Amino acid sequence: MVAAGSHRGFAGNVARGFVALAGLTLLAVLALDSGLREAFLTPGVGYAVVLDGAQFRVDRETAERMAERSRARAALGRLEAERRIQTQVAGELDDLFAIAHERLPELADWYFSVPGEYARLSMWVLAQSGLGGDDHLATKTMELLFAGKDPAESLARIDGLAAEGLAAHASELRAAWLADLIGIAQGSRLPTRRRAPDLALQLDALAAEFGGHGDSEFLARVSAGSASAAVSGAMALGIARLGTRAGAAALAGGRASTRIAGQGVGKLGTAGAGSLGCAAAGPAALGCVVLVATATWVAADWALLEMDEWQHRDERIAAWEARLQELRVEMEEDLLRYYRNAIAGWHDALEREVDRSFSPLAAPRTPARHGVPRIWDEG
Amino acid sequence: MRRFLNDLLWLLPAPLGLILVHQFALDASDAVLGAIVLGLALLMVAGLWLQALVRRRLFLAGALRAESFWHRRLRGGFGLAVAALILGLPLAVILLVAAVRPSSDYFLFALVITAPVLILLWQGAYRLLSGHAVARFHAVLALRAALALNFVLLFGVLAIAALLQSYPDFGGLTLAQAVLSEVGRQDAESELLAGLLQMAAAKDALAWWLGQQLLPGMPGSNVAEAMLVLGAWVLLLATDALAAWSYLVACSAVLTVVHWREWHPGTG
Repeated sequence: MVAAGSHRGFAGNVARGFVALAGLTLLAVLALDSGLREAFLTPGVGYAVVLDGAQFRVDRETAERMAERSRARAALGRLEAERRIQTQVAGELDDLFAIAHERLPELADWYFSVPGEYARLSMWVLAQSGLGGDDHLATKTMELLFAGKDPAESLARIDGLAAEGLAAHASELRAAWLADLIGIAQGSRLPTRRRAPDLALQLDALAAEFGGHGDSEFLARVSAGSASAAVSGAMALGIARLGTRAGAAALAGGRASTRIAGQGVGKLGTAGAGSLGCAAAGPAALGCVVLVATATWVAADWALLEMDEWQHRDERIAAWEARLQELRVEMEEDLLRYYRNAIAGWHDALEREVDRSFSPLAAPRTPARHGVPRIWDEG
Repeated sequence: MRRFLNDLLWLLPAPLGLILVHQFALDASDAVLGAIVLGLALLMVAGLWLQALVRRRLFLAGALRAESFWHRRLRGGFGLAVAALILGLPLAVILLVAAVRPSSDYFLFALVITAPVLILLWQGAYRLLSGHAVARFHAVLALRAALALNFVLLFGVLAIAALLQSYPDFGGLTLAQAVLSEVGRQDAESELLAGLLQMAAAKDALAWWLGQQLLPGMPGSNVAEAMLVLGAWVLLLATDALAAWSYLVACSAVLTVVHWREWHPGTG
């Protein structure tokens, strides 16, 4: 009995000694190793986040939710920006081309007039001789279609409005993103802890990127007005072709060239017949012939143009309308392509910045010591 | 042996509690910290009160007749408890601040090692006093002797660590700048704790600044400067002394509560 009791006492002492030793060892390790202490005693790594001037302390799950929400906001922002710019560009181009469509009859008046015909002929001759000539026709067509307004200015206005719209959108997106993240941070289990955080999430660059002022320089790019510069040249060329004979022939499917050939033969015959009456003029017969031939030529031109207009005016206007519509679609596509590229670049930069800003979440758990790090004088 | 191990096991929660305080106090609210300080203070008060009671009984046994009116009036009770509370409350606050803002990287380790050392010293003192002390007060007297010796050891270790430790370089700063820079770095969820930490930081900054500004000129300088340097180090070491004392009071309180019925001198 005594031996059994003594045995139990010894075993109890050994057990107590073991527990005491294990406890002391564990406490000593916890006391010496702050990293292990954090790992044992702190359930989650804390992150410090500064949002709109307010500091939040969030746990890992909350930080991951913030990253996901940032990505979702970036994707939503891209879709919204594209929708917004599409609506804006379509509206502005509708306004711009509505004027041109309304003024097509005036272009037709000029086109079927003698000055118009002679301008085209003289410009064609200049072009054939290598001296240029289409610039005048382009300018004239622009003036007639846009009532003297420069379409390049309208395009620049589209640029300006698009830049303003995208700036407003970026500002709204940034505000919505901030509200989202602040809402998430406030719902965190560690909302206001002011202990020195284990890791800090620096979101300033991301906030700037959401606002369009980050590394992608999104707003600076869309404010540069290069979209209108890129499409205004193509627009000018397309509109100029409306007023040229080649353009008209292309639109009318070759009938214009046939008409021109017929006109030339008819006019020569008429002018020759008119000149026969100058034989009685004596010494002034040569001048009479020139005058009569010129007048007869012009009159024949006028008559033929009137006939051409009577026959083909509606057809020509319809062709111009179709071409203007095509031009509008091409311009809209060009402008939207430009802005979509800019928006895509912005979105890519946002995604990169989200990844970079929240990259501490992917880092291995490396808890820091309590307190603000100090610079110690090792000397 | 079993008694030794039991006491050691009872004592282990003390350093564990302080490690937990060190880990979580900065995140704790005023209410939680208040509860911690109050609990710590009550524990210390219990230990201080019982030890004061034993000292009083020893005094009464030697100084007054048992039938004296004053023997009964002075046997200890509420008055000693109030005195213990007056001492225990600031000691609890000091221990809290010391745990949150350790004076050295090895402070917590020193606290852990103190537990078995105190038990060993206590057992040694108990054996040494076995042929001398009255049985009724034997354990308490041995504990007092062990506490005194342990205080010397713990304070010595902390003082040496403080002397060998590197400190922020305040060479180019004025005293106000040094104090403000240290105070500004302190922060805690609890405004109360933040204030206490700032006071401790200001005291440390004062000591470090005095030491760094005046130490280079110490060998050939005048007495006033030497006194200032000495004062700086005394200020620095006094903190360690207070921290060591408060921790040992807490440890002895744990042992006192564990052996309460055995050590209480009775109502007589």
